Amino acid sequence: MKSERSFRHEKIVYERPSDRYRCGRALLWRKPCWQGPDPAGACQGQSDCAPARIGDRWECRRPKVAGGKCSEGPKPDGRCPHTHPPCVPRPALRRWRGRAASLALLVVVLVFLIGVDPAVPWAVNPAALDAGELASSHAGFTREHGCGTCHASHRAEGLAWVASAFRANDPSGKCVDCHDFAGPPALVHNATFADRADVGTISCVRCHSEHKGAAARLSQVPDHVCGNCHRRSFDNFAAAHPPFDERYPYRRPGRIYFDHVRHAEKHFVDPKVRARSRAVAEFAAEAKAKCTVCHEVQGATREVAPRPYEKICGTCHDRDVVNGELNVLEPGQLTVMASLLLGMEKDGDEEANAKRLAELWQAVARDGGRALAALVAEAAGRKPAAEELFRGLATQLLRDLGSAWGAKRGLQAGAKEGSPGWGVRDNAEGRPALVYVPAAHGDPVLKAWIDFAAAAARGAEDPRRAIAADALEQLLDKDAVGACGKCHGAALRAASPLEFERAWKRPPASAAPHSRFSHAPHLELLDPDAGCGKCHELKADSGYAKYFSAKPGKPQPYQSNFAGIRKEVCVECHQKGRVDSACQVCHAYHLPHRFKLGFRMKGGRS
Amino acid sequence: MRSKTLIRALLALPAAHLPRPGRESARAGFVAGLYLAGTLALWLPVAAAAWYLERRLGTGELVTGYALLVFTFVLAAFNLRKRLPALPLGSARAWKRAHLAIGAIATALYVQHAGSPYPMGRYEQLLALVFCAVVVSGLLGDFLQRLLPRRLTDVGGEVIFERIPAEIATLREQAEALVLASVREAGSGALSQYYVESLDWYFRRPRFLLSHLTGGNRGGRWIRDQISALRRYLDEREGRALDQIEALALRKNQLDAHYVLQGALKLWLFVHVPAGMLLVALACWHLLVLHIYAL
Repeated sequence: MKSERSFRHEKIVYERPSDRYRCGRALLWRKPCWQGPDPAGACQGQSDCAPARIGDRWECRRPKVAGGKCSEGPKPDGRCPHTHPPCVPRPALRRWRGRAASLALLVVVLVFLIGVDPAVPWAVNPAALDAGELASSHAGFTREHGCGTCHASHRAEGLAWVASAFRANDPSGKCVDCHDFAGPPALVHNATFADRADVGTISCVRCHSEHKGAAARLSQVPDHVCGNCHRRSFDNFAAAHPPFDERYPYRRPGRIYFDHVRHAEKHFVDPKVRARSRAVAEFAAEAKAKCTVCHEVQGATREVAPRPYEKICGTCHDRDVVNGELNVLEPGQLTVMASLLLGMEKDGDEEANAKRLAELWQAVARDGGRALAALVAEAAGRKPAAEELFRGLATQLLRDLGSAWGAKRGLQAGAKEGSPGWGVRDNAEGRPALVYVPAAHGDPVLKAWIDFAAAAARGAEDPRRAIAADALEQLLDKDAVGACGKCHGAALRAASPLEFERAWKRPPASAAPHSRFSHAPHLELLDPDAGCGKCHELKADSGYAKYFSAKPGKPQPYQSNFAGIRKEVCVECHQKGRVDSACQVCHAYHLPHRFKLGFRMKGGRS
Repeated sequence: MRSKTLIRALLALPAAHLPRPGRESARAGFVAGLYLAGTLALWLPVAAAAWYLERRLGTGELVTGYALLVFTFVLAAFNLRKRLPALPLGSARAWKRAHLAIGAIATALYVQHAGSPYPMGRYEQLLALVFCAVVVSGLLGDFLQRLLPRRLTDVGGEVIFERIPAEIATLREQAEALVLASVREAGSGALSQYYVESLDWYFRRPRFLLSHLTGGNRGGRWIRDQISALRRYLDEREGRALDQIEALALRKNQLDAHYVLQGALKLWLFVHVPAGMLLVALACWHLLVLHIYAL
């Protein structure tokens, strides 16, 4: 062992590591034969040598490594006298290794890749194509047609299946068979952006990875995906999200002039207000303390809508609404309404005005409401408005009035003074005037007169437009009958003719399709009666009233009487280790989504 | 003592235990630096390109995937290189270093490519398992190749693995011849009886394999115990024969160590090579399925 010589390297046959077989005797820890197995694995050591015939003699051919020529020499028949039982050669290590590799490959090919279904022996085993379990939302409707539901190439067979590897096989094209959005589905954010012309279309699978298990939520993507396009990429809301706009989320005025600051800090604590009645005092005290007295938190999502007028505002303001009467027609005098209907200016030709009025009285005495309807149609260009303007007005009363006005005599008042609806009142000269007393908030006749004036102020030609504008201002005056303008004035003045109907109503929730917020989960955490102020902080010095009390032609910028919500308020909870602060918590990538009809028929049948 | 040997082996660079003159040591450091620079030069562009593409909603996994495939073929080519020693394809040592470097790159790229350590799909799971088997067996093999040659040097002598059975048989024949001669000359059956009862078992085949594998010397102690227990019953002539038998037994002990250690150096390849071949096949399948279904 101490030197190579001791192992008699020079006397032993060279061992070839690449030989495929080894002598079976060596594996039994005995001396191997010098010949070793042949390449096919057959034993060659059954005799010490293969004698050679030289002339008529046999000569021993045993090599030195096996002891040299034997003393006995070959037998007369040429056989070697030194015979041994044959061994069973065994494969060499390298051959065993090759066999192990081949076996592993074979097992995988047979069991894993090639189908085990005897009916389809050469079909690819589904396990060999299994990229992972589908999300539960997709697993159901793909059950019938399997992979082919989304992967068109799956339906190809044989070589066509292999050849499809050289075609484009993006499965995103199949997504839009079922999913539809309010904008083009392939466009980034389903929209185009003027300042990002470099952003075009994108494949669905770039953000939504399927085959991640039944519990995977495909709609959720990690924050860094958003950072792929957005110039400011971050994954930490608290540290890196830009601060909110100073006016967020109160950038636009509402359609109602309601000064939260004045109500909370002045009206609700004003002893005079509280002295009106017990109900008013109780309401004011509660409303001062709790936002939920006026705002309906049950079912609140993006916005917490106020309760109906009758339940909150009406407590104090009903008496303003039903206070006073609208003087519509009056003999010998051009009322604002008459001026609007006839298109006559108050400071116009008195003689012409008187003649026109006299004609009107005659027409009213003869035709009643039809005479007025004709005037309305002439003024506004639409007949139905007359029905709205004079709803509830009795034809006989009109005729009687027309007759009385024409004959310049009086008329017995038919209704008690101050009672709601149409009525007759004596003017200063003791002559009867047609008046209207609003019945309640949202009175349709009063509303129709305001709409009529507003439409004429926008659409009519001069001088009727100027007359209508003047009439509208008078109707929207805060001290006018119904006091409509006190709250609705700014919205109605700013509205275009097509928007009048909407201008009366509360606007829908803010249309910001790429952002989302729900009050509900926040209200669950905060005290719903007192917790609103945590985010919605009143701002006393905001100049909120200026926008609503601006004179025509002199608009004022809108300032909310709430301070803008600060990011720090959100960060108090939305930070690492507390509440999720991922991009998708507040932002939506897609425009509103809907399923296409018949999506369940996917798979070639639709 | 054994743990110290292990730590030295783990920390040592290839053949660093061999004494080197200063110039040769500097050259080895230069070569190691060259390999490190080459590794980084191969890995960084691929990883950076994939990372950049992923940050731009691109197909970064395609870059890492194709790079992995190419590297897998290059790694598999090492096996072919060993089968073609006559071709001038560079030294086996250089190939081995390149194999290790590219293996490390492939492992890093695999982590970047797969994202998750345990994919969801069944064939992808198999692919991941096979990849892990290749990496773990490769690391084990490299560890063994750093540790066991030193142990073989400590054991002493050199012997071809395939020739060990013949060497053991020769030692056995010599021991049996000594016992027979002793019986003839001394006329006592003590040595022969003892040989049949004890030493014959030892000379039949390699013994104390686990002890040799873990660096122990149970074989040497067993020989000393057996010899010293017998010596008191033998006369001077038998004692001389016993000395010769002891020398043969100690040689056999060395052969046993060679058998175990060289065997371990070959056995890890029984996992690494088949798993490597399987990995190549599954990677090709993965590429095909990916192109048919997702690209």
